[in-house]
Amino acid sequence: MNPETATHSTTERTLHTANEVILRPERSLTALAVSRLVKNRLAVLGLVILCALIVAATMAPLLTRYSPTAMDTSNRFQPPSLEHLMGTDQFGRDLLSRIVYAGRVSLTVGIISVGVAGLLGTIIGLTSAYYGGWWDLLVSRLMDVLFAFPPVLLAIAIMAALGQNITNVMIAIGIVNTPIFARVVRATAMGVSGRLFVEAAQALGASNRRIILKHVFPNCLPPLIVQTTVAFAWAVIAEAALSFLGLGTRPPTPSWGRILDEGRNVMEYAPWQPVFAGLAIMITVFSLNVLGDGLRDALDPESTR
Amino acid sequence: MKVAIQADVVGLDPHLEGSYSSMLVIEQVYETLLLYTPEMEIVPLLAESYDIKDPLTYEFKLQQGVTFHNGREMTSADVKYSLDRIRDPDGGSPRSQYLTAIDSIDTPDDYTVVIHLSEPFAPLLSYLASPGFNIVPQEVVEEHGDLVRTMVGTGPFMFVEQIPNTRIVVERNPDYWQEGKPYLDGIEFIPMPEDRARTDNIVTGNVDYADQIPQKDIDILKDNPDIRLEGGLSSLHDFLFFNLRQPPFDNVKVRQAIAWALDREAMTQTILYGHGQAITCGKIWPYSWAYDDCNYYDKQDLDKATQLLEEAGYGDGFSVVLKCGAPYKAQIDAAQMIKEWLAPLGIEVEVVPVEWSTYLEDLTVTYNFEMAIVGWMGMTDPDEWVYNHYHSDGQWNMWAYSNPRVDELLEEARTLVTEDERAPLYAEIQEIIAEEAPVAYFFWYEQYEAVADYVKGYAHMPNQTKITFMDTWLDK
Amino acid sequence: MIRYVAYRLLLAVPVLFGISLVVFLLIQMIPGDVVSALLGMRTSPEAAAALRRMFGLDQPLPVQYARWAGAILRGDLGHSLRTGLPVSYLLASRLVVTAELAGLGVLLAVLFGMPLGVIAALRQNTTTDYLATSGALVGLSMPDFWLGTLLVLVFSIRLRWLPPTGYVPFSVDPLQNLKLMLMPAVTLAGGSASYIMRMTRSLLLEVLSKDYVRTARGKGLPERTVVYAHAFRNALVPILSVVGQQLGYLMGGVVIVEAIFAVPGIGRTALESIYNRDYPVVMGVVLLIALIYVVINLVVDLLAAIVDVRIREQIASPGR
Repeated sequence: MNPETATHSTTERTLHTANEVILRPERSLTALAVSRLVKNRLAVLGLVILCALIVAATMAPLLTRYSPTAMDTSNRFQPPSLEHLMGTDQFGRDLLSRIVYAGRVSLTVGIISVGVAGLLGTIIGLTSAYYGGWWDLLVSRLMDVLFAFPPVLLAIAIMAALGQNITNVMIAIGIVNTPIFARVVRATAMGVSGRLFVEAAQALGASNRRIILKHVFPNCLPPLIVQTTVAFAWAVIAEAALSFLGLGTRPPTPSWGRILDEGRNVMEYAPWQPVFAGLAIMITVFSLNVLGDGLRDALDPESTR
Repeated sequence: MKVAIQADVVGLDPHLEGSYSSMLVIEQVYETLLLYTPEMEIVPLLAESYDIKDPLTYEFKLQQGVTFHNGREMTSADVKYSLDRIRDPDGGSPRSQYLTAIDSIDTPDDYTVVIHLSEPFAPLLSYLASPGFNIVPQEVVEEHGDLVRTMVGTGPFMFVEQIPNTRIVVERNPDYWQEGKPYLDGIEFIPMPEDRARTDNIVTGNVDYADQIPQKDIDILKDNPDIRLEGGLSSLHDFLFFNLRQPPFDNVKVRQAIAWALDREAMTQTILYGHGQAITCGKIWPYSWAYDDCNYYDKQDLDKATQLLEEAGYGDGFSVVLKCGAPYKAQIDAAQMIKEWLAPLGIEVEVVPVEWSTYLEDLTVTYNFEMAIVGWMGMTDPDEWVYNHYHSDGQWNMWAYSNPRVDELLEEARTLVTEDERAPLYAEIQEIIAEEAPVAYFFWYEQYEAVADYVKGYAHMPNQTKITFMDTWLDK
Repeated sequence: MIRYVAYRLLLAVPVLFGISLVVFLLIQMIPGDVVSALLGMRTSPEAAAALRRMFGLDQPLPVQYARWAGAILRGDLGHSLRTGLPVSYLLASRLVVTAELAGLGVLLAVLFGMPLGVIAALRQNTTTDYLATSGALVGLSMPDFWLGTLLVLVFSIRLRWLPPTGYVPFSVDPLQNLKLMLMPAVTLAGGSASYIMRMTRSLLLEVLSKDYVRTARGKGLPERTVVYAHAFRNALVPILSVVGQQLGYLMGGVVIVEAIFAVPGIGRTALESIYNRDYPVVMGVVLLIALIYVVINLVVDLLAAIVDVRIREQIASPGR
């Protein structure tokens, strides 16, 4: 094997898979990937945790005894007990219910912002790879500009400009995440666009849109899926970071970052508060990362694991 | 002596500056005609004596032999120049409004100043004893255009250097006119915006004095044998106010209902950790002779609130946006508590923390708010506390409250001279305000400094000035 | 080579220009301005208007931007609206602090990440490997503001070993400086170390499976030489590029860490100046950070290009 063909590029490896599939049509790409994923125990664990979190967040009212905003000022700073499994905060609010409800915020922000970034980034990536020309040049420069900002700083600046509410958080995180989606999709799409079957389709007279949707795009899916989990993990952390700095959701809506920040201020009185809040973030991000790793390996035939 | 302060000092001009941190430094370097004692009494300082010849004429005899840090002796011309500079409406001083009653100032000789008023104005002496009304040398101002970066005063300390975000240093004035003082060789002010940093630095001994100890650390520091906590009730208070320009807050019953829905004791316990005092009547603090203990809002009364809302026709409630200042955690906390209390009344509150620069515009320029929370500090004369807030033309009347009887009382109270004459007027004003509730007060803060045990001679000033530094020394 | 460098630098210019434009527009969108923050509540509309005129804030936007851009080209970054100090002075003094913090962070990250990655690669699929890899995953998933908070909770509040916040210049008090930098640097390094560990491991594994390694093994060279002389050296460059990339990434993490630990670096400056609407400072900081990114990327790519040549040489004559 010539070292020059064995590159690190996910793109190349994915194309390898694509070719593999074309030569062995009896086993679909999806089935191949799924079987690989299932064998990865850690990834499955991540998936299970994630599903549990989603269920917990959706069923929040059923799972919690107290309202997340109900104050009980005679019971402030209670350590974890049978009454309050995670203790109470400075207003006497039950931390367990606050953290469960905060999960809703994080998951919603994650899903929507990544959805937006993914959609936007994919469109940009596909069109710039396929059509090239001045559009590609312009868009690539724009993505470069966005890339040159530290992502947290860019999110902060956008939030400051738009105002503090949860919709703007989603927009800000969405914007910050878009360039990486665009880059990933573009790189993959460029590889595919040069391939034989695309030329063949063009020769047969298929419309550009059809080619993009039916041929180029599906091949971009594997790295796109992996990128989605990575971006989701980042979105959860980013939302927490913004709330931590006071720029995220509005009080008294709970958000893991906000609970962490509030807990940090009263660490001398309630050390359990920041611990639990951060733990929630960590577990969520961990499961996403682990799932993302598993997906990356499952969709890539030449992994060195 | 190393002093940890909360905010960095930006400008140093005593007439143009308004911020608390700048004042800390300014009052070491410059002086005023009169002075407040820790018991809140006015005594002479640069003015050796004063005589109120008639309600329109105040004569001050100046101390002799007081020199500025550039060597020149202070004379009545400097006093006239300084006061004129403050009251010049185009001069840019935020305090120009306070001296509008002055008609003219005469200097019959080098050590006598006569102030002529256009109408009787009782608060005059109080202002002349307050920070920001200091005497400055004319030639220095003219040479530099302003005193933002240069400091030349008559005070016990002289300016040495200012390094932004790092420190401001003043040193002992060897030619200070009060013999023997100050005792300290110098003071280094170190800005530490993080509460935790100031507390930690005083505990570890890196600084000798930490200003603005947050309420939550007070009980923790109390047990420390190497540190003394000096402080007490202060004039700082937080309150909620309504925009009377728009419904439903033009309806007094709605405002009263909300005022009754607040549990001020709980707020003091939760937000101030018990280190404060609930305001149940008017906001003039207990240190003042004009304090009124009418105890109007003696407790939270949700039934009364519900009833008032019904009477006002808002039995079904309404939704409202409550704005507060984003940098102030106490305001955000208060907003959350208010939201909880108003919810069962059917009033849905949306809490919106606003960044400070936008907030000021919203409150004072565009009046873009429905309910808002803000904190305020008072000087010492009751007029300064209430006139601008309650008078129809008041400069700080952001909530657009207007009551002819209150206007009348305010105007009269300023022109009377003795405390006995004025006190009943202020009592009535505060009681009317409590009842009409254009604002709903929460509490006064107790404010504490943490001082190393070897710091002696320091006395806490309820009005938050630090002029007692000139009496302080370090016993080590 | 020089042409490549020049080409890359030239490419950076429109990007920097674009960045400055984006930031400028973003800031203009933020409501409120520095004047209200400066003057406070007890002031008058006339004073505010006068101040605005003095700062040139009443000019139309394109004029303001043109003024600023023109000044930049002359090397003048302007003055802070809030303190009046020259922006270049502010940035220089703050940059030193961030450089120390980021440098310490990267150092710690490499010191912990790389060896762990090598060990894990060499002991692939053993318990050690699983432990190390899982540990790295946990480290990656931990938000840095949580790690920082936990460190303060344990080491400052409970144990009282380290001061929680602040900064002292190294020249003034080196011991105190390091004590104060320790927790922030560890916080920064946490995620980075995990990432470096994983990349080191996977890159090393990849190299270990290559032909020339097999060749070296086949020649009977001791395993140690094989690993360090051949495999590791060749994996070094991609690893270095990852490290360089992390340095760039740390510039972002620095914003939060500096906020938590009250370190006066450029991350904090950026935050503060946005809050204060101190436009010249924001523009200066952002430009600086972008420039740093560009330079780091350039250096990393250059490194890759240089060593790429060397790899080709090695393959041509294996067994050297």
